[in-house]
Amino acid sequence: MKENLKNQYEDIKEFFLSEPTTNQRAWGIIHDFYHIILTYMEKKKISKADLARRLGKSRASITQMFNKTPNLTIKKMIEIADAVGINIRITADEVKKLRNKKNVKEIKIIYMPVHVPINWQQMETGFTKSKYKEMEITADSSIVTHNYEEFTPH
Amino acid sequence: MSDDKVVFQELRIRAKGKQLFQIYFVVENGKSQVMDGFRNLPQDKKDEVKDLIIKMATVENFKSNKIRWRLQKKYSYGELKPKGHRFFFFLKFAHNIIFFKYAKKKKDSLGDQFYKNTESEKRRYEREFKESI
Repeated sequence: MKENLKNQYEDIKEFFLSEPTTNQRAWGIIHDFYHIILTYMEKKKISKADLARRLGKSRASITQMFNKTPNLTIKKMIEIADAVGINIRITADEVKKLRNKKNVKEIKIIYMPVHVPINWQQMETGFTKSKYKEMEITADSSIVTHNYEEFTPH
Repeated sequence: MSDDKVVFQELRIRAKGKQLFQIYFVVENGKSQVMDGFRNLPQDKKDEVKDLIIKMATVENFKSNKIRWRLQKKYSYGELKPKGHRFFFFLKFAHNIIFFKYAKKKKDSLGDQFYKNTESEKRRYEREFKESI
């Protein structure tokens, strides 16, 4: 009996553990899209009635739209994003990884304050010019430096 | 009611990121309303529900028109609502989502009494879950 119970829903458990199919990933993108839209609407206090007005549609058609199948068109997605004020774009995990590898996976910033009086006149007015150097050591070991200046009273 | 009549089985998911919740479903007297309901869904609905459950477990404050984390103020459970179907769940001990009931939904087919009964069922399963841990 216990063994039967254990195996009874094994097919469903396996279904949940399996790699997502094309259709499941399509649903994933739709759900991500609406999660972003709804989160932004909540943050900016945009109601569904507001969204309906902006899209020139009825409140009921907005509700229907949120229940759409993965066949929601890219054009429609952009229209919705525009209406709430979001700029959406397509990206890929692999491209992100490549970009991170190339650039700033790890940043170390070293502050090197060097106090240098500009000239005696400024010293007399009571200000010191400070120079700061920031060094960024990127993941590919290249070093980028930035120079900053700051006036401080002394 | 003896303890072995209600079993909470874990539904393991393949999560890309951090897993925030553990997912369980209720098996009572060897049957699970939730899993039997799920099994009878058409393939596209299964795909949709699978992704919704994975998102519930892995995305912080996941928002969807198809999920109500809590039904109004008077009920202490939520529902996952793909068109024409309802999967009822509750949250317990901060990081567990327990699916305990399934119903087919036609327009206005589930009245107040249904939701009231579901609330008492939820309380019973909640007690059982507490004891099982």
